[in-house]
Amino acid sequence: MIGPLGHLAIMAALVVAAAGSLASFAGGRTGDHALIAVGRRGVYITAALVTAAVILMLTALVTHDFAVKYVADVGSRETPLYYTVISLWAALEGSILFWVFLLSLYTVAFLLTTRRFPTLLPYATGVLLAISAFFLFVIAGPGNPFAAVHPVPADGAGPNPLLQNNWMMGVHPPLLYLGYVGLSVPYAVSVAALLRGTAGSDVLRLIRRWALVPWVFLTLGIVAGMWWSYAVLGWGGYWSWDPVENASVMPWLVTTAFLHSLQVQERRRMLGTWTLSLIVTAFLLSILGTFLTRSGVLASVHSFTQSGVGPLFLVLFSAVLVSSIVLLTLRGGTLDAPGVLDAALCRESAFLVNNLLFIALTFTILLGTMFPLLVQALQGSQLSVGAPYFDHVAVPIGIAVLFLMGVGPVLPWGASRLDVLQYRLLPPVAAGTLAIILLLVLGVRGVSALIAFGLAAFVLAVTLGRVAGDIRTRRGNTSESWVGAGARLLALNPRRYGGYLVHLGVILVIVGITASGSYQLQGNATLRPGESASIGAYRLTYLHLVPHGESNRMVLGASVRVARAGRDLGTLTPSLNYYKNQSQPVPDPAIRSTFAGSPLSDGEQLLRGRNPFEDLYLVLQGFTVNRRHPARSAVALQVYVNPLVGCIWLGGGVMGIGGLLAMLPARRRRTAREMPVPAAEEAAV
Amino acid sequence: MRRSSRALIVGGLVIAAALAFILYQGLSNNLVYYITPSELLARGAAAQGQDFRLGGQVRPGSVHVSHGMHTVTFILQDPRGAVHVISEGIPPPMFRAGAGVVVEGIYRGDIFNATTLMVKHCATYRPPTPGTVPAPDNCVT
Repeated sequence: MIGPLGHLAIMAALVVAAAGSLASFAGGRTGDHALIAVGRRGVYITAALVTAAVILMLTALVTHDFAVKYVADVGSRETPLYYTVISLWAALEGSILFWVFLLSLYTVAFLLTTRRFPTLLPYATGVLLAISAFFLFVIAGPGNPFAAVHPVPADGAGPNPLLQNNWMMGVHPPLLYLGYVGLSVPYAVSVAALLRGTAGSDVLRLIRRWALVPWVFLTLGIVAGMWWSYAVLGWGGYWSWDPVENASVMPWLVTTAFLHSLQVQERRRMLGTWTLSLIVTAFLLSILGTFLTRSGVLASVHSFTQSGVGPLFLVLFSAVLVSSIVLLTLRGGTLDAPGVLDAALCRESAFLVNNLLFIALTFTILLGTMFPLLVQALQGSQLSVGAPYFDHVAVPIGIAVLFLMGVGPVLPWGASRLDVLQYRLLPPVAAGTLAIILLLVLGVRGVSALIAFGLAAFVLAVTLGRVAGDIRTRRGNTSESWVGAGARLLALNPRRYGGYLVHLGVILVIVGITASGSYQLQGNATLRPGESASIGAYRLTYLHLVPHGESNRMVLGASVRVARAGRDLGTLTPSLNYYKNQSQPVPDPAIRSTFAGSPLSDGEQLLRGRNPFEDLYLVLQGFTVNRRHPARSAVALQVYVNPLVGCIWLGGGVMGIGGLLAMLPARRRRTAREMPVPAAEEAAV
Repeated sequence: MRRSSRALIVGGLVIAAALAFILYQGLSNNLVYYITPSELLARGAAAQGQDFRLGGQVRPGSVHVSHGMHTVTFILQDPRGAVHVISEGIPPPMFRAGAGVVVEGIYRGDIFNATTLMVKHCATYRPPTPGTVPAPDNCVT
């Protein structure tokens, strides 16, 4: 019964969304309030119908209604309830349903919070409903999750074991989807602005706020994905330049570029068309990402046509691409003031170079991701672009971006005076140099890693120096306490300090990536019960196997006693999980992070020149069981020691908080002295 | 045109040229072709010292695991050819005679030195036919 009802809800939502979209566009064009109201109501009704469809699907999943195709595909009676619920996004059809659901929520939130902009809203609503209609069409026809199954199977296969091996599967995909889907809103507002030919600073603020929301979700989603890859896949790393990972990071990079170029647009009325192109590109890349990850095109160029969903995505992608290019060329020119750069060395040019670097990095990743597909489509030969390609290009660009993160905030808008720059840059440069010397003394080697650490220290000094300078200036004027002045400044300009907090998060992430990428230790050992092996400061002793059964899997763990520098740290149990629906076991690594260690002994380690903040990462690779001589049974362990990996998760969280802060509306300024654009700089425009 | 904007354009072109160079170099050095043993043999001397991903079936009776499980040698075959493979490290749990595997590494002499060894994620396996594009994981479903 659920199947037909669900399909009915989706069909009805499709009709309402399509009609609402047309009504909104017509209303926007004619200014007819009745039509605009029809479009608004369309948004709410679509959202209600899609929510009903999602509830029906969840009911079908939880009650194991195998007459519904999607449940038959991903459901299984043995799967625990949590993984049953989250298998809503375990496969193609369900994740598109989830996509539309999030989009309809975003659209409602956008309409409810945006009261002004009467001329833009109908167009933006029309675009958003049109996108909804497209995805509804996909699940109404070729990718119908509610299709009937005959005969009804008694049980299903259950979701892919990798998707039910870790609770993170309930967190990481929704975050990423909220990011991908959320880019629809700034895209829709940009299209509306282009159609109306108006993009004043208030419109840009609207776009910015709605671009920050998906940016925060993308940031958290990407970092959560790295954590999932690290904690579940058992290869000791967190980023393999997999096309799916690349697909998530590309829209993030372009949105980041957008958030920076927007500041130039707001301050100097330059780069308007460019700024809008960036947000349009980010949306295109989010569609491309959904297409790449969800159509099967990655497995083979020739397999994506089998589902019928792939070609539709290609149609959507082409339609958005062509219409955006046409809109930007025809209407883009109206947005720019004829501003020019006053000097090569100023904040504007720093932002411009920042944009170029982000775009270059995105293009690099896009090329590496799409190249195998192009070659396969044109030549038929299968090849892959190795991870060294991405590292080879991303590391120098990353270092350049890091450098700019230090220089940018120091450069003034408009023209700059070299003596001021020298004065501002001297302490941070000294801090960076000092950091490199200190690390060399401690025994750290490696040119690019040292450059990265040195630059991280430089950026840290610049960022903290800027904040401290602002607080000192305010205290000079107001006689507030340090904390009071800091809080007041944050309330006055959350954007600025949210942005700095994001930069601090980036520093943490870069330090984590550099350290774990350059100084990872790895080794393997085959141990019989009671035997030991050493890696770094660790000594591992294999004790025995510990099997136990769960409803959906059998878990075989190897109990390993761990000691670090002579101190006993208890036991770790890496395991192999045997799922009922797959012959191949899934390794479940055991990780011990010394971020949780005692600070006293950590300090002692640091004094001895040993990094105390590292992860011990154990993977059970295989075992032999000798029943006659149990003492000859052995386990094969793969062992990694990953320094400072925890910095990446911490930094991701800090970036997310910074992004949230930057979203807060600024408190009204009281005095003319604190106006956003100082008179001297206004005159330069 | 003001001097500063000309400087910016020149700077942009320099960056673009540098990027193009880095991209070209990076791509041409890091392409890894996915082929079968017989396709590897057909490449003859041109394949020497090159990186490949090689997909095929482990010939039954050819597997030798060294003491301590640190290296494994076997013959990887498709219907028209076979290549000796040496793989460093512990073979994954499902590695066995007859399994479909993908190895990645360098072809030197008559031996393929694999740095990674992956077992296909399926129960039944059909070796890829040369000349056709292999299915995603060469599985028979």
